[in-house]
Amino acid sequence: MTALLTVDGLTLRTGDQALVSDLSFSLGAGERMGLIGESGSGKSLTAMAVTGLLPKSIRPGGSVVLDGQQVIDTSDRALNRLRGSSVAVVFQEPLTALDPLMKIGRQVAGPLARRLAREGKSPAGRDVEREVLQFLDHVALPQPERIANSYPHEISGGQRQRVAIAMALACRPKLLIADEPTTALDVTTQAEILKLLDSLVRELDMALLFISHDLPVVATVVDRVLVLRNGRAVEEGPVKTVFNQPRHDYTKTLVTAARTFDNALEGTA
Amino acid sequence: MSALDETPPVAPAATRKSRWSLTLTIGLILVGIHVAVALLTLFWTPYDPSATAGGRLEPPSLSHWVGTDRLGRDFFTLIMIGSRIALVVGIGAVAIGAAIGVTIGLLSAFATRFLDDALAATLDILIAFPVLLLAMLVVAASDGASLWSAILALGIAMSAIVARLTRILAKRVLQNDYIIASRTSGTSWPGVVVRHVLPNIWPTLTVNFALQFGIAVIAEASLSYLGLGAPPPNASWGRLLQEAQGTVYTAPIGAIAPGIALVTLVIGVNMLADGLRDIGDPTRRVSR
Amino acid sequence: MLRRLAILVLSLFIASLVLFVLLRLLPGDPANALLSVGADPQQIEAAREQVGSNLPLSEQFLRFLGNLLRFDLGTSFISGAPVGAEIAARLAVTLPLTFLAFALALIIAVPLGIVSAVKADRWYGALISTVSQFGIAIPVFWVGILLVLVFAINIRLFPSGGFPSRGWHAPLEALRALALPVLTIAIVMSASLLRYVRASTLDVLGSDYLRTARALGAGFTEAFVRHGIRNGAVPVISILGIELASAFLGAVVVERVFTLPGLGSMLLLGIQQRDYPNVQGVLFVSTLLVLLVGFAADLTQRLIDPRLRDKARVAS
Repeated sequence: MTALLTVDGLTLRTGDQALVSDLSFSLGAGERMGLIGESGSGKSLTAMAVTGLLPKSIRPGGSVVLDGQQVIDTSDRALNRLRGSSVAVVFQEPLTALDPLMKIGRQVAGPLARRLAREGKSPAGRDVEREVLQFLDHVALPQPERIANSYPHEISGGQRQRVAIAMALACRPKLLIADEPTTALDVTTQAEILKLLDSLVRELDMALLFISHDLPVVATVVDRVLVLRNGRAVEEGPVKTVFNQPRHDYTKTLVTAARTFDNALEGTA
Repeated sequence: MSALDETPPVAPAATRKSRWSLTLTIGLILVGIHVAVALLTLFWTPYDPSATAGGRLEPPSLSHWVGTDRLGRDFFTLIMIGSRIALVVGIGAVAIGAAIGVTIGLLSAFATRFLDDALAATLDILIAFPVLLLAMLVVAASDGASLWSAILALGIAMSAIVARLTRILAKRVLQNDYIIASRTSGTSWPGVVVRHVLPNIWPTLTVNFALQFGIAVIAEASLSYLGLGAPPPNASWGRLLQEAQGTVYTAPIGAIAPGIALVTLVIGVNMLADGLRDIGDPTRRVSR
Repeated sequence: MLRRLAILVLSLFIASLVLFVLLRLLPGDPANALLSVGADPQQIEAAREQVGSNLPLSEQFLRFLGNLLRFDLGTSFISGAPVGAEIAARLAVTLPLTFLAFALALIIAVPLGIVSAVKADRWYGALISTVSQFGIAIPVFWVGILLVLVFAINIRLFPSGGFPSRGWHAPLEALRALALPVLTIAIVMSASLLRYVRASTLDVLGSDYLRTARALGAGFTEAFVRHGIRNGAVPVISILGIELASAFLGAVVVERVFTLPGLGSMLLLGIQQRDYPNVQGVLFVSTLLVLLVGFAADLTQRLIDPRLRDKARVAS
């Protein structure tokens, strides 16, 4: 069986500066992988390269094959078919990721109607509306009708992130990319969102590419991690191995930092 | 104002770099020419600006580069003097507008909430009155429209805009934690202004001053065009254009040349400011 | 909503106060305008009586306000004609001129502004934004003169000035007379408007919600139409009031270029003749119009942006 996503020798440059160099990894259907590194390590750019939505100033090289389709240097039109059906993204900042001027219900209806059209169903207004509520319910949002009728600024940050997840789910993607989905949230909400993502990915049998700077967060939802530093892969392996016996110095510092932080938390608790 | 920021979110570093220096170079050349010409007119002009130098409405020739006006005065000489007038107008108005505006803006930023709100509301209303309209009133009022009354009027009218901008910028700076830190360590308010506020807001203010310079030059030209400015030989380009419009059928060059002079100066100043801003403000240099 | 209405009324009050003070600050007694050289003291006193300039300032202001409430703008010192009627007659030229120019400027600036932002990396995107830079450096009257040179003198398509004496009873002639003035104002105005549209579009293009829509499979056009236009419109609408004010000001100058009998020439004549009731009336009516447009812009913004609605609700 071929992999769902194969990244081979990916290089991203802006001007004469390389932001990601010679990065290779692959992800099978239903597989869950974490991409970790500090800010500026190129992890988010890698995710955008997978979706083909890089800023115009960044020139990609190498190969990214998603669901049998080459992404690098492919026309936007061809990629539009890929995005949504093969891949969907949940972004970091749930407030700005949603359109501030549109009610939640209509925003979820957007990707939903696209998928229904793709599947050859004529999306009648009633059905779309009902399915929107189902999705909101699915991501454990209380009172879906009220939420659907609200604007983003009227609900909490955690609820907004649930909405963003519902929108991604509405696409029924084969691969879900979560780009620091919990970074902007407080610790309690963070745990809830992680649990939700974990159960949804299992339930719907999606592949997951989870991007984070936070090793412990990644460890709870993925099987395998890839550690990025300055745009290069420094270490890759099963979560347990990397966490318990980090080989590279950089990974070691990440692990130690996380442990120290945890200990400090326990000490004060 | 961040919503109206002009910089594209991401632009290739290489092309941006070359664009600034080009902007800066063109700006420097245009402004440089006008400054040089203005200084030159203090000592020398091709012809006596107040005397008849040739026939009436002569077309451009080697001796009269842009011809003569309806009284036979050399048009090129008058345009050169226009450079001096425009620079005086622009610099004078901006100096007055900056002095009043920055002071009021800073006072408002530091004032109690009530006073600040009242000032802000007043400024908002004043800004609804276009600069040119206010200047028209003031100039009309002072008998025998002089250049100085125009400059004063433009400067005062401009100060409302400068004050509002200063207030917004200063308040943004004052929100920073290091201000509180600086205050707790014993720095006085004037110290905060000199050490933190002014250095932070100055680059943005300077760009705005350049914009205001252009607006003042155009507004003064409009005043002169409407007949509210000084007559030749010390006329601004607006007055020259007004006089030339009457003879536009026979001598179209007179209705074109002063306009070109004006546009090159205003664009030059704007480009110069843009170029300087891009160099002076490091946050605009880095494209993530 | 009520609060906004209160602000409108308050602004109008402050504006009339500013106007009143400004005009009284002017040197010379307005009564002088009524008098010929060498008038005796008795005549001067009579003139002051007639104008009301012998009353204390506060009383003058109250009288001015009271008259305003009755829509009475006074009578001209020079012609003795009611100011209100004169303004109404001249608005028939200035309002169409301003609004046609405003509409044309929007038609030019909105699509070009969007294109110049979306295609910022193409030569034509860069060209549009460079040309618009020139637009803010050109005095409106010079554009008028240049258009006269091209369209009235060289190809004789439109008249170089004037307005039919029968006014709008000769609609085609009137429109032809307004063609070049409208184009003049629209050209200059669209340049500054374009820069706002462009900046606002760039903001939208860099926004997270647009990226979300794209990442979930929306094509660029679909995402831009669905999310971009409304979001981009909000900041642009807020400056439309100021833009309309500048269009109006453009009209003052452009009416001179094309010798149109509008509000601008009335103001200019009033200033030259020290005809204060006329000047005051014109300025008051134009301030009223500008404030009303700002009010309308605010309401439109609120209609589009729920956050503004909520803010207003919390505040009131």
